[in-house]
Amino acid sequence: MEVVFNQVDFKYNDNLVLDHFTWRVPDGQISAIIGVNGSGKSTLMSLINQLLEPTKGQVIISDFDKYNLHQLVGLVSINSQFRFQTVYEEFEYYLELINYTTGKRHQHIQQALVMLGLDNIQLDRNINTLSNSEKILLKLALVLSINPKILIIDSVLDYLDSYHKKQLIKIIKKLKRRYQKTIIIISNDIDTMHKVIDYVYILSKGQIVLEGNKYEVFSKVQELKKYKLKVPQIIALENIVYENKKIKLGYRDDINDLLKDIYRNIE
Amino acid sequence: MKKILKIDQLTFAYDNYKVFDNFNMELDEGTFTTLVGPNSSGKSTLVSLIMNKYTYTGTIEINNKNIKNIDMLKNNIVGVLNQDMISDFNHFTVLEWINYYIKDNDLDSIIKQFKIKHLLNQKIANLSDGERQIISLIGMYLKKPLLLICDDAFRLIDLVQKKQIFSILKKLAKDGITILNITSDIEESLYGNDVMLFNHSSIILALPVDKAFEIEKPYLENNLSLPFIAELSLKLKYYGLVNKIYLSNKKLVDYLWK
Repeated sequence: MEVVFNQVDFKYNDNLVLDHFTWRVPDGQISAIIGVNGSGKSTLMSLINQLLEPTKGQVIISDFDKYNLHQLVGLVSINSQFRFQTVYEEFEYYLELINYTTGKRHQHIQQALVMLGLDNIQLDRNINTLSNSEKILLKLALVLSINPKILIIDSVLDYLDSYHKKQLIKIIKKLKRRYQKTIIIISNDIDTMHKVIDYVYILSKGQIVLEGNKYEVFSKVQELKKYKLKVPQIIALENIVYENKKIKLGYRDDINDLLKDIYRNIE
Repeated sequence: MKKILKIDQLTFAYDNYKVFDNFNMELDEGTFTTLVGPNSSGKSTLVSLIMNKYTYTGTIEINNKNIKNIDMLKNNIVGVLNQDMISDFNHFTVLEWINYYIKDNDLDSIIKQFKIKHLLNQKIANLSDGERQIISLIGMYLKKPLLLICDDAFRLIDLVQKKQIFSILKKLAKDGITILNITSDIEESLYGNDVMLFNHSSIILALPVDKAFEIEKPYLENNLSLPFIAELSLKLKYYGLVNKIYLSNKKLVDYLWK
């Protein structure tokens, strides 16, 4: 499933939010869009989800004519609101978007809930009684129940505690590995993203200013600082080791691998 | 030491759902405490109760005075810093906004203390999230609260500005304003003096920051993890490579490669 931004301009009032923006979203991979607030991240997602239209240029999604938009793109956003009272009503609304039969609907709901570890939640449960993390996971379950090919996870990680972050990382990895989904994550939580993503795109003033696989991008510590971005903790530590001791540890995304590297590099 | 906050036998329920059951908590004057808790641990409810938004049983004392019948919004004894407090003032410049608050305060000393000289003529709308929080903080400071609560106030702020804000908070604490930073981001606890781990509306542990991360278990059991540098130190300690928990990258690296 290909998503391509071709020379896209997007104007909001008189602000040029995106400026000749060109981007090919890596197919079947997990990508992160990183930029300071107001750099245009959420605008990008709304363009993919057809909530906004480019002022100039095109956003091309392959097979766009063959599917319902909801089957192509699923947006999980911290800003989206629930529409109904109970968990079941909310699922009904989503599944009606793509005309499943009742039997098939039920199967889809159950699969989505099991995948997110929410299968203990009764379908007639009032959404207001769910905890914040359950609400966030429910938003993801709703989107997954339609099984979209592209999944956008916007500013959700930032609102979860460590336990639920770890849980969500596992789910995202599984969605890529087992279901070949194209996944885009937006978050200010660089450390959590670092553990799960493949590619990084740094957005500044409506353009991609730095891109590549995560090791390439995150190792450019000085450039990240220039764009006022945080460096993942592991990389920051490796960088201090290099700058002060001239020892190059391998670039890692897991603290246990870092530990082994340190062990090997100490006399 | 003088207690600024003293909560005794606090009990509170939303409808039938009991949130606080005989909860106790104390803060000494001039301390800077980070209260960390997972999602749904009762953190926001605690702030609402201190601000007298709900009726409860038990007592909450600020500076040895029961606050049950005090209008906390009109009174400035407690200030609460939230995520975005000044968007109503977007069309003001920073200087106009400060002048609006300042009566006989010394503008120069505020500018120096909060390092905002370069921001004075900018419109509040054009500031970054971190800069807006610094300006909100000035507003809080000028009201001279006894207790300043930061309620999940720094979630969206980048690291550089976070460090700047925390160094301001540390100074305010030195000047005698008691600081309580409530967050689910455990990394923030490295910048305060004391750490309280909070869940299901009880204090699970309360320790000075340099002693708070010697055991991982209570954090994991409460859906949190240790700050990165503490987790790494703990793992290195397990392998005998260090003998204590470090809270600074530089110090850890200097110890490992002496």
